[in-house]
Amino acid sequence: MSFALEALQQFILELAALVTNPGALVLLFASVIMGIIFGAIPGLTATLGVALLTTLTYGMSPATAMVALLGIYVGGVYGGSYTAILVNIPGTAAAAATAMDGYPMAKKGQAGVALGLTTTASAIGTFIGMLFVVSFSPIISKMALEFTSFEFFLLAFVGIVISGTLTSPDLVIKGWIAGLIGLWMATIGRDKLQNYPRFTFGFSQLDSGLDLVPVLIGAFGIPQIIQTLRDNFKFGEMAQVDRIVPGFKKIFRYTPKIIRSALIGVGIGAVPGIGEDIAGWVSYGAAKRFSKDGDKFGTGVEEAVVATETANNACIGGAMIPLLSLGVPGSPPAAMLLGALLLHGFNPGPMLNIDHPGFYLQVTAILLLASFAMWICGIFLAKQVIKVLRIPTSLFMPVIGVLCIIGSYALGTDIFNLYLMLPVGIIAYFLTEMKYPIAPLVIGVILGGMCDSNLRRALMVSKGSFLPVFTRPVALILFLVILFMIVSQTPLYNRFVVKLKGRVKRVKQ
Amino acid sequence: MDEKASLRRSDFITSIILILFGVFVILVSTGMPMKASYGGVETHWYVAPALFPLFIGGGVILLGVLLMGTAVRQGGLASLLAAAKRKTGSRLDERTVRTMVVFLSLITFVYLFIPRIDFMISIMFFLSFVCTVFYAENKRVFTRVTFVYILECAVLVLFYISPLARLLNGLYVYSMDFMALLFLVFLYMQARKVMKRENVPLKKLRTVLFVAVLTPLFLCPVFRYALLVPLPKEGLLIGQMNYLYYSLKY
Repeated sequence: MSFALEALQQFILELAALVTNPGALVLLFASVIMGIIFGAIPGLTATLGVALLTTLTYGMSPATAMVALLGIYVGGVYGGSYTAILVNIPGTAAAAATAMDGYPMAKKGQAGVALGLTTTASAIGTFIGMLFVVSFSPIISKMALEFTSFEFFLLAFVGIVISGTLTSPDLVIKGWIAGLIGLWMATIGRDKLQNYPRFTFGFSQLDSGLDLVPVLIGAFGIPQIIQTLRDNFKFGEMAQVDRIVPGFKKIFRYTPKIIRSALIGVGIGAVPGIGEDIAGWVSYGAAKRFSKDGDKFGTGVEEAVVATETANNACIGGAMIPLLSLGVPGSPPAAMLLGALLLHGFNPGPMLNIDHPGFYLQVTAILLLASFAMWICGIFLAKQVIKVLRIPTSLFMPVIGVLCIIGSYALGTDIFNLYLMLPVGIIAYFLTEMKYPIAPLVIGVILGGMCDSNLRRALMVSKGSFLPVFTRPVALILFLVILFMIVSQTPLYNRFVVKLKGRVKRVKQ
Repeated sequence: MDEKASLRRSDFITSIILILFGVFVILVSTGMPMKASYGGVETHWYVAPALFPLFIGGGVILLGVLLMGTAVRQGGLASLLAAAKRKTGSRLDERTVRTMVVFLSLITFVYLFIPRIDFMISIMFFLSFVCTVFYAENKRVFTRVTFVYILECAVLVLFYISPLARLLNGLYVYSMDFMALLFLVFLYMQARKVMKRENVPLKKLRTVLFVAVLTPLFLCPVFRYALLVPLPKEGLLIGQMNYLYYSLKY
């Protein structure tokens, strides 16, 4: 009890420190607005926003940098709903499910109502996600202190396998291939145990490995720029927005549904490597299934909009849990956030709370303020943000291209990073075109080092034996998860499931 | 259906590339020491730096074979052979051309302009070209401006590989920046000419100019003086900007 009170006291102090710092508040609002713009413009994503802002935060204190990065993350996830509602084109994949009912609402002349509902639902989603970060991260990180190298190796591997399995738009093996390519990219440079140069081909610039930020900017930014310019993307006629109504009364009516959607969002966010888009769709599906107006979904049902937006924003908190407690990012923007944290000298994982006590509470306080800032910006500045959407993408995207280039260069002030970023971006573009997911690749790059050194360290301790995988419960569970993920994609398993279903049906009859 | 066939076609080609890549990873990994002696301590295979890359290489080959199997089963190979027969002499579609132009702009920006020409001029050049060809939304403007841009890039490349560049730089240190600036003006003139001929509103070109000048004018000082990032190449314009900034400051 006294521990909880102490934590609450610390949380209030962190919050007060932020609220009384005008600089931090201005930065928070600016980054939230930037995030909303990034989220709203198709082609730009929250991940790219976080990636580009990381460069600018290099000179800031870690706390200030987190204010900016979490602000743009929260704003970015929410911003996707603008174009989803107004033009039926989701600004981000996370808002794809919102377009299903948001746009029909706008067509009925209820764009203001829809935007108000998404704003309030998103703020509530972020808030609930935040509650989970503060309550679960310390517990998980305490448990993770008991993990050995085997568990960390398997954990990193689970992240890549799950991400590969669930984010692949075509064949599942494409997700795994992307993950393996990411893992290979992580092996470039001198290995951490014996300092042996791997795949450096005599380039001294590669000795320290690939810089994370240029790789992430290349993987997430360049394909978007190429695709948007190639397709000559243009908005159609935008729906008219009259007055944005917060819709508190309606939101209150939907409380149980909001809680269910938030739980879905947090749960999906906590699974390594899958992000807000899946949370939105799963929540939409659940809302449709359990609603008495389920058959009306797709025609402009308020409940659907609330469900998707609560879930995708709650996913932010969910994604922060494995990131902070295990060092495994829960979503692509969280992967970028991990890169930013490493850059600022933070090593996310079980030791984070010991090395930097109070950091969880600081993140929680920032998330709370970010959700508040997002709500204010959403309600009062939406019309101004919509004006930005009228800038033609053929003028906007080249400028983003320049930002990607200067962002990749600025961190190491090394042109070699640009020589690296562009090929990564072009390869990522071709992979995207061939329906390979990029998230597992990025997660592979990030977790590759953890995978490699922990595998070898584990084998060193066990003298080359894999037996501890079967004797340690957590390692065994993680191994079984990986095994299930792989086996469940085989035709043999599918035949078995079909047979089993048939047998159950026959027994029921 | 057509999209799936094209996807399986590319899957078949990718699977070959992946298998070759996996073999390459394994070959390079086998060149790494599997056992070594550090200060008299013998290390084992499971500590070898090759262990993880070998595992990755093996995985890539396995998945590559699976991908190839899927592609062949779902008609990827047959569709590839049919397309190869059909496509002889066919022209590139507009989408591919647009993609290639974006590639061209990014590659020349990163590999040609940034390491050699003043960063501000490089940004202006990149934005002027990309924004003009895509924002004008006119096929002739697109073709003409791209042609001029390729020509200018080719001249710059030839200039760099010839001893002329060294000679000119010896005479005047910013001669290449100056030349790039002249090329930029020429690009605008050409764009203006063709836009006028094609009845594309010249307001569009003015907007492009505004974006191309304002963006580096805002970004370069922010990165140079606020974030203290030395820019990749500080030449004609950034050199003058530095001179002005430090004269005013001190």
